[in-house]
Amino acid sequence: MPPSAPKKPRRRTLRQLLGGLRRRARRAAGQVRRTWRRSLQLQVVTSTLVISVTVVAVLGAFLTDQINQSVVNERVRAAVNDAIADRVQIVDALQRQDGEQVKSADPAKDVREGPLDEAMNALGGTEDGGVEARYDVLVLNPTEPGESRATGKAGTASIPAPLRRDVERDMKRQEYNTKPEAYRENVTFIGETKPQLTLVTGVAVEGGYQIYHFFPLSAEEEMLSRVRQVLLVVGLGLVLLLVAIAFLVTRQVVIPVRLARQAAERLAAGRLDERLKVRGEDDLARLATSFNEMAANLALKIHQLEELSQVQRQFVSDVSHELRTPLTTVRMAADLLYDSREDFDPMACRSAELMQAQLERFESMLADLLEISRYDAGAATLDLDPTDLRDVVLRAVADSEALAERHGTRLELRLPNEPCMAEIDSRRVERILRNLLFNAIEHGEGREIVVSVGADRDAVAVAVRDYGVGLKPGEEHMVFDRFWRADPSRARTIGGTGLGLAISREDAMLHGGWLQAWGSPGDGSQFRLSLPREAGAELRGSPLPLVPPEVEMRRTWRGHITPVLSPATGEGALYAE
Amino acid sequence: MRSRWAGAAAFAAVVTLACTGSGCAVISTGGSPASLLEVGEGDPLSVPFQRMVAIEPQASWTPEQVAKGLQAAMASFDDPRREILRRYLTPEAQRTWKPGGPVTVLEDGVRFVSPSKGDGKTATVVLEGTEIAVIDDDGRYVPARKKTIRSFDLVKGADGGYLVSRLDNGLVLTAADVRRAYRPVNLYFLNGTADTDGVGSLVVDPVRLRIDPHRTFAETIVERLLGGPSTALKGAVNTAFPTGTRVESIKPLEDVVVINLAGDFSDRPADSALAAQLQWSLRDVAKGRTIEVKLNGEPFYDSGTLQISPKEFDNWVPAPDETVYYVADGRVHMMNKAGTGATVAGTAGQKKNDTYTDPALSAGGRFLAVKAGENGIWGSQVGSDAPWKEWIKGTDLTSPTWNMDGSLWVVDRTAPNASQVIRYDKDDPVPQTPIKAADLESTWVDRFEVARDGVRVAAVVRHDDGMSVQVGAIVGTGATQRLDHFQTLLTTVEKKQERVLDLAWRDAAHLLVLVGSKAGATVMEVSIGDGKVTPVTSDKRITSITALGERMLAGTADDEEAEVLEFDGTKREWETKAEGGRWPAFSLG
Repeated sequence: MPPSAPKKPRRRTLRQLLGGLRRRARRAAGQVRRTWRRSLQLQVVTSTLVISVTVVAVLGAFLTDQINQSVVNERVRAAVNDAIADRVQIVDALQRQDGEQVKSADPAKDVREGPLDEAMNALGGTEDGGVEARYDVLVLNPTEPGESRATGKAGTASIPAPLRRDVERDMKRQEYNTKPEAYRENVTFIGETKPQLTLVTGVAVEGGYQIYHFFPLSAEEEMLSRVRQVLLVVGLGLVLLLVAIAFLVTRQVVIPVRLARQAAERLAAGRLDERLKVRGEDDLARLATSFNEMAANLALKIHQLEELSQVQRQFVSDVSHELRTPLTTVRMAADLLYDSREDFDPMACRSAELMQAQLERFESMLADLLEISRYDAGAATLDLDPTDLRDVVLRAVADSEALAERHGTRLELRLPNEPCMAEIDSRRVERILRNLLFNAIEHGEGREIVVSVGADRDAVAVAVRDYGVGLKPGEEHMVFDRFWRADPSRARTIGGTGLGLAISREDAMLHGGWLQAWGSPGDGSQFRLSLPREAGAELRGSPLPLVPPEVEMRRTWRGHITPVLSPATGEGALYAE
Repeated sequence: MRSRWAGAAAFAAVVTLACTGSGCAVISTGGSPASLLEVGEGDPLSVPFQRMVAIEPQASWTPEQVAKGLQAAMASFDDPRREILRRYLTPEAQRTWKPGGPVTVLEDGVRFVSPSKGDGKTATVVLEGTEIAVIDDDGRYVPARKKTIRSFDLVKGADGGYLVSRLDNGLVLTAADVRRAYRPVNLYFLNGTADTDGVGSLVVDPVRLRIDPHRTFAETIVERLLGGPSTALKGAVNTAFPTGTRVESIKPLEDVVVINLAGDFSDRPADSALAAQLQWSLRDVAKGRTIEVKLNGEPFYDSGTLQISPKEFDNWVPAPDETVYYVADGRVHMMNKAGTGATVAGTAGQKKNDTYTDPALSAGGRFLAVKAGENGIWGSQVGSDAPWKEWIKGTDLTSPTWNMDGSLWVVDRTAPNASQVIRYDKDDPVPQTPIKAADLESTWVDRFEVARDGVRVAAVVRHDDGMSVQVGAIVGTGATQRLDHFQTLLTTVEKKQERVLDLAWRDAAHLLVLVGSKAGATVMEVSIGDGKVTPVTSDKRITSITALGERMLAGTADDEEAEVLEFDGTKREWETKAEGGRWPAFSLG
């Protein structure tokens, strides 16, 4: 063996990777779809989840919006009122400043502030015993020196530019004491690095003064964000609660249904003693009661039928046994007559011959009946040996050659060169093949018969093809029935018992293999025996096609699609093709 | 069955209707009482204030307006780089003018006048006003009273507006500017060494601090505290903070103020002294909250945090002993707050052979010193039967005054214009120590009082044209001790025949001065921090006063009708407390 070249790591192209991903995704989607379609509970829970999320989201958005509006509007209204009240105070102070010197309110106080300072002290809470204001005020007079004041941390840089423009425009137009303009802006105050959301109002008053108010909205913002958080948590909790409720409710309904399904499946699998527990009196309990009654009736009927079948089989078996003894005696007498037929007149001679022939047939029929009753009793056993299937085929063909010659039929063998080893009971397989060959010769109308052998890793197969009358649709299964005849008017020319194919199928099934038939009127028929190479292994496919390739090709040409032929042994045929 | 379900449904419907339809209140009444925050909690450690906002000079302004705008810009502290102020100055002036140094405070109502018309390109504006104080860099507010004139030279700039080309260095503020931008703050330092037991060891240092909008007022206070005492107390007090300590941040929490300090604390000072200084200095802004001190962001101690509860160091400022002592019938009497009088125990309660005046009691009233005649100070232990002892003998002595450390102080007028301060430590082998006091030595000291904080002293000095009240500090300890940093707070007017009759410390930051004139005697309260003089009351009879906190007592001179009076602040009148008594005195006062 030449030294194998070092294995190169396989480089996968992007396309392959994408393809792989797509396949995986498709597989996962398929899995999900399957799970979804199979679980009623999942469907109900998912629907509840989607609907409740939608409802909660819409409701939450609406509530948040309403709360936002009412809180902010209220704050803006209060702020504008404060701003107007302050403006009145400041304008009053400024007018006094222009006019008479104001008398200090407290005569004991020797310090007399200027009116603007006094007003600002009152607004900013800087006077004795004053309460610190919750907002900042900036009085700006860009035309007079020393007439600008501010409380708190508001500076000229804190005024939003558009507001400043508006106020200066009012100033130019001499539109004083208008309703204050209010802007909601992120404002950076003196000594602070982080801007904070602030409601800023501004108004122009006489004398070149501009009054700005800064109302921090951080408390409102914080409150609203807390409300939003609460709504989010509550909404999430609500959705989870609804989902949990849906889960529990559907669980109550689905679990009994699921139990009923499982029980039905077990019943179908043959466990006839399967019953449901009945709890309460509700609909599900009544379903369980009905199911149990149905199961009980079914079990009873099946039991009766089984007993009947058993009695019949026993009867056949007993009859076969009982017939053997008289038959042996009759046979001995018939042999005697047959051997002496030369001495009889031609009529008697012919009768002796006929009797001999029919006795042989009777014997073989009796043997077949006994064989079949062994199968029915489950007493058939395999005598397995590793055997080359080609040898078995050759032996069966050799046995059939005499008959073929009598029918003028040519047998064509298509054997592989390699041995087709399999663990089989060669006696039984040979009997199957003999049956198939006899059957083909009988129905082959003298045309050639092709015997093909095929093998793959797991299985071996033999196909026997004839070009006779073929099978009508539906007869592919009936051929294996006991005593079935395609044309009841037609005589059995080679003395078949009518049990050969039935026994053959039992043999094939005993091997864990398939015996299948295909046929088409005018095209002949083909029987295929497929056997696993190892005894007991499950057969997954056959190395040979059931439908002959030339027929298949012709069918494809015509565009016809024949119904898939189901195999003799259940589901396996699906994979056979 | 059916009717049962129908009944339940109907009941549910009725309940629902009752709750929703009949107007259940949205906000429920009742409920458990909610605990609300007290006003001031969660306070951002700042004081409310209003600020002057600087505006740029306008091209249309007159020179007077530009000068006024410049002065207003000086009063605006928004911008630490003073960019707007610099727009008032020519580039040359921007380079040469220095805003630092002491701040001159002028009385409100300053006038900006142009002495001459100018040539249209240059102008001169004069600022006329009365200087009322100077605020030093260290925050000390030094009162003054003098007319002042500041002149500004202006030139026309490129845009046609005037710019200031020359002005004197330093800021000029009006009193209103100072009221807006400054706040009086009491800083507390340590009297003597930091490792004392603490009782009575804090000394107040009143300063004016500027409100900086860029940070909390608490930060300003702590930073100033770390900067050490003002010049009024330099050398006289200590601080527990190592040199180079910085304040990193001060965070106000709901009921804790977290102060993060940075610096080298390897020579760990007396932590209690540090905590006491912080707690007392931040008393007004912390508003009853606990203070937590961190060091470089870590807990102060390896084992845990340093937390200062609001009242922990209350005893570091002297607790008043409210017993009043006075002399009646040649005996020393004592009177408790209720007004019940009795003679003191021991010799002092006995009649002395020769007359004496001006009794002074040491801390706790344990020792008594009196002035007998012109040249002798006699002493006795209260409660002891030991005879009177002459402690100090001098030429012409002032009334004795006790320091809280147990020493007795007196000034000996050795000549008409020569005074010598004497400290007397009764337990020392050489009890009498002359103390240097450069400001007093060549004057006639009429009265001398040591304050209860053990650091400040007040003296009445006689001049040719009247008398003045001066406040200084005891600097240093032991042999190098001296009196220094004297500052005049009050001056009498000779023309009105005003004389200072007596002095009394109300507390560490306020001094009561009894001024006699033709009209009678007036009690004035002088604030050490800003020199503010407030008349309290006046009465012809009064010749001596003593005070302790809100309490104020006076003695009359007339031998026949001598009595001890106490001032009732609410009724604003004197009440007789002890007839026949004279020279009332509190301990240490």
